[in-house]
Amino acid sequence: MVPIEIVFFIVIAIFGLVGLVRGFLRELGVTLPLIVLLWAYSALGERLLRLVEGGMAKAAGYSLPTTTGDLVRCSFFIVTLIFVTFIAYQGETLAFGGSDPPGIQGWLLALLIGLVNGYLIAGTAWYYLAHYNYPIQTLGMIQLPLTPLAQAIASHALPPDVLGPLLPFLVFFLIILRIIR
Amino acid sequence: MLLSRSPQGGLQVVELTATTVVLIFVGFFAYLGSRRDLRKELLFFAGLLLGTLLSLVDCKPLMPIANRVFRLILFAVKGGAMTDDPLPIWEAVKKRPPLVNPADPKSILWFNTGVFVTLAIIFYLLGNRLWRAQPPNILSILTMAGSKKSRSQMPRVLLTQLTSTVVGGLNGFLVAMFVIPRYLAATQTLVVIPGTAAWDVLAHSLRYAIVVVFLVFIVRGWQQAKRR
Repeated sequence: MVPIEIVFFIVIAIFGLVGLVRGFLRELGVTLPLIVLLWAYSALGERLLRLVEGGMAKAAGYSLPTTTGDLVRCSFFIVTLIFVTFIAYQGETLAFGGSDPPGIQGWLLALLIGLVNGYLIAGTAWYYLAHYNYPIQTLGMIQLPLTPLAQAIASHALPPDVLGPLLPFLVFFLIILRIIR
Repeated sequence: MLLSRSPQGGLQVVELTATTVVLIFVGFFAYLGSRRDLRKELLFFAGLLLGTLLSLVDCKPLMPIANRVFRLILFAVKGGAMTDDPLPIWEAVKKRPPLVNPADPKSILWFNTGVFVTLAIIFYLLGNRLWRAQPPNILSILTMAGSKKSRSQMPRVLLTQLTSTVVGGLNGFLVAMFVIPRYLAATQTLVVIPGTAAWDVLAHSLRYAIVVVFLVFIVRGWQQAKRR
């Protein structure tokens, strides 16, 4: 099996290449919804899940079993992440207007923002896998324990950890840039 | 920051928190950044970043090269290149202690400092040489003393110089990251700050610094992109 950190870096590299092809401004249009989603996760994610689970328990008397509960909760975060990513890449609505910076500078910036988007997507998915103790191991998709490098990344370097308190400011900043443009 | 006068009078004890020292560095370099072209500051940032990354591994990849070059210079200085029998000179040179001793922390510290300072100076001067033009004087624009044309460019110039100031601040942060744990956290210096506190402050600020770097690049690209 391939170590999870290798998959993480490969996904980031792929998104970097996608960014290189799509250009700086389009990639910036993907960064904004991803940051908004991260903010929504941090502010509402767990509460929303508790509300739904509480509602289910009251209305139908059904509560998630402990074995599959984490898998369902983790799936909620990952499926919404994939959904928002798909919309962000597919739609043109949030793309920043104008033409990309010229020359090699434009390429480098597009690569950089592509890598950042890859980090946000792959890192967020990993964060919620780690948060729910890798529930996909019941499906045989991951084997624990993680390598020391993977443990270090999972503990300190994933987007919700790194960006946590900065998310409202980043959302505000990117929206201002979008409006001015 | 605490300033207190000793009972005997005259002597002052200066106690600085790690945050204060980091802020002093950031503020000073941010001021320099506000006075310089953004491209120069970005190049300077690249040099400091390279120096910081090398210092994280104690410049170990450079040590063998530095020692070899040092021996070659000694060999040449002692006339090894001019004599018919260079072997005795080479043997004598080999017996000399190396320029950098990887087992000596003091030697490593000086080598690290030398590499960091050299890279900083090279990249600083390279920026000055590549882009000779001075940035527009913001003060004259703000006070409406500039020409009509320069006043019309005010928002763009302000944003550019603001970005330059932020990059300058980041440069200050990198310099603080290098200097504080190595020099100001010592016990014999005039300004004393606890080493662990310094590391805590720097490590905690690092994530913000990384985010600010990305924001600077975003703003730079956003500025460079042409409107439709």
